[in-house]
Amino acid sequence: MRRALAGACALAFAAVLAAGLACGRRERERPVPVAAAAETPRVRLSVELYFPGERTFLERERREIETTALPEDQIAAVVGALLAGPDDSGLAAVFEQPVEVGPCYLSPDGVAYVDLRSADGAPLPGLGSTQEIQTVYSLVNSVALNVNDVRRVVLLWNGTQPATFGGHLDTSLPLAPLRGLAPRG
Amino acid sequence: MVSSRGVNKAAALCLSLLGVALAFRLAAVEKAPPPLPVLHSGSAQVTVDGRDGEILYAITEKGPLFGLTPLTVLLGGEVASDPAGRAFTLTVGETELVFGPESESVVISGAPPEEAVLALSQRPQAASFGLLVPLDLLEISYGRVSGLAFRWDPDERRLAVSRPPANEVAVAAEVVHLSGATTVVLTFRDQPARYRVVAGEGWMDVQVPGGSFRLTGGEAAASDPLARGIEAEPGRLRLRLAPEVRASHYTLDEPFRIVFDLAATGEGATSLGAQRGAGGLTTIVIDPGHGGTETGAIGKGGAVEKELALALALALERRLEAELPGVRVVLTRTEDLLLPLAERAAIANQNKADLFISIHLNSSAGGRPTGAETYFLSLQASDRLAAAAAERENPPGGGTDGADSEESALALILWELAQAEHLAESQRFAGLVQAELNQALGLKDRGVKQAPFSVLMGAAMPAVLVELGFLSNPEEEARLKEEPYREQLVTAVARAVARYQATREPAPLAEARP
Repeated sequence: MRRALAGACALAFAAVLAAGLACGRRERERPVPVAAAAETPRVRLSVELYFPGERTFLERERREIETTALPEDQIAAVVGALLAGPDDSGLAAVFEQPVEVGPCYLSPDGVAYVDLRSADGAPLPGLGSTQEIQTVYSLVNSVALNVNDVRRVVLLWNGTQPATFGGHLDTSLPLAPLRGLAPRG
Repeated sequence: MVSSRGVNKAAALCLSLLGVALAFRLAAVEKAPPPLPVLHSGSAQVTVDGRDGEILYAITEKGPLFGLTPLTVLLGGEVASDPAGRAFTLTVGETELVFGPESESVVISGAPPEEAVLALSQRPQAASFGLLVPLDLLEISYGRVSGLAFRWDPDERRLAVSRPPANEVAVAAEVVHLSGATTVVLTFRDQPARYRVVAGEGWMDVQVPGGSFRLTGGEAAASDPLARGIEAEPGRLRLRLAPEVRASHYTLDEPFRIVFDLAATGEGATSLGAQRGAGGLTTIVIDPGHGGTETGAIGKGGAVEKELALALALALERRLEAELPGVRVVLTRTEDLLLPLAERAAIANQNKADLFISIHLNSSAGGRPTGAETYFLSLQASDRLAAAAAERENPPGGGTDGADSEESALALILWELAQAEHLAESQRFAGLVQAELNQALGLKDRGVKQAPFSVLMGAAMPAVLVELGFLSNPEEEARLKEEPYREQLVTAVARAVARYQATREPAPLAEARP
């Protein structure tokens, strides 16, 4: 099992490295890569973001976002919009503390790697199980259910893949969206 | 004088026995053909009376097969098998059905001769988590006995179970004695439209006008220190009390239950609790969540989940050791240290625990929810793990990393299956914990839930994760910081353990060999 975890982490590191190299210039110019390079045609996406709700784990909020046709840019745009918070005051922010989206990468087999960057490299916040489910699957569902070709999502925290975000869920594996958490539409 | 009805019954019994012998003897002699290839498998939704659950299913060329054990939890009934796993007996009400993975027939006890042995559309299939059975076996068993109708929607992966209106009132009784008090729980398959509870001298009645009670369980009431038995009669269910015993009652929903609390009013009541032993439980592992650098939830008032979870777990250990003599209680941690999630379940497995209870306090990102909730493992996790394992074994882009990858994949699948085998019991125990927490504390009922919690996956025994309140709610956080309140929580969980051990089937005895 430890070898399996080590393998997953190594893969994640490689992915981050690849993403970092690919997006390095943009990173230096714009720390939050929610937009694409100037030469890439821009597109407008209609997405549904998943925010922690009062009565259910997650509730959807429709949003129009501007990005490019590149899946990495779309992943970053979706996560950036999610981290910017909900419009509906009845919904909650994914994180209570400031968190930004770092480099994103989509592997050929449909696994999206999303690096979350906390202010000053702060460690993961303490989370109860409900909050951990809300935090992890707001990100996973928002990315996997809005960006074509994304089947599963790996979440990184300041460049490394934690075994768990809050001590309940196993985040050492790529996560598929949990549709049962979303309200019936 | 023997009546024709008696002759028919005898003939049916003979035919049944002959059928069983024939079906399984033939299979043994002729060597059963291999099971049909599974074209697709996964988890499906099952809807019973508008309530959703999850079951495992598989599709063969002859149609769907469904995991039997979870269905018996939802629909009632009991499954037993012979030690070799070749003959299974499903008991639904008074009816016994015998079938197995080597035969395309089912034998029904007490049925007319022409209906005692019926053909199935395909043979059941054995899986590591239990037996998969075809749809027509469910129709034969639950359809005939309980009048249930089944409809499988392959597109939605949903099995809908509906009940016809009936005057029969199906009730399952459960009796638990602990610390000189007895609790009798009557669980109704359907809540009666009209009922009333009437107290008399030495008895308590549940009366349902025009109802015909079908009672299962409750035999322990006959030998309980505070009760004399439970009797089903047309229109009423009577709980007989021992002399100098008073009873109170309350109701619970989903499913509808009437709970009687019995207490002795005379002398000697306090010593009655010691009369019952620890039943089938020998070892219980309690897991205080988090620890070390992993704090878990932190309340605005400064309460830290890892600290409260440890305090609650230590108190529960003391309570269980006092209340259930002979039961060994093991904690995964007794101090402030961080244990990997996998190691917690491994401790339970190494100690051959019969029950695993992970203690947590909750927090939410939205609103100010309060209350307790009890989780058992979601099957969605198994889909995810299996898929992830398969991907690692055959990564896109070519090549595998050989034995390491295979070992990883195998380990993941085995871990997941370790708990899959115990899901039904985990669900049952979770229901008991939740009911006790609801009743004892008047907490908001957040219900029994399922989630892919990692700490439950590797546990090879019934396992639950209990969230005992929300630290993100300031009022509940303040209560959780008070020891008397935590003692109430511990009492509720301990009562659930006692009820579970009282109703738990004993471990099968080793087969005698000549």
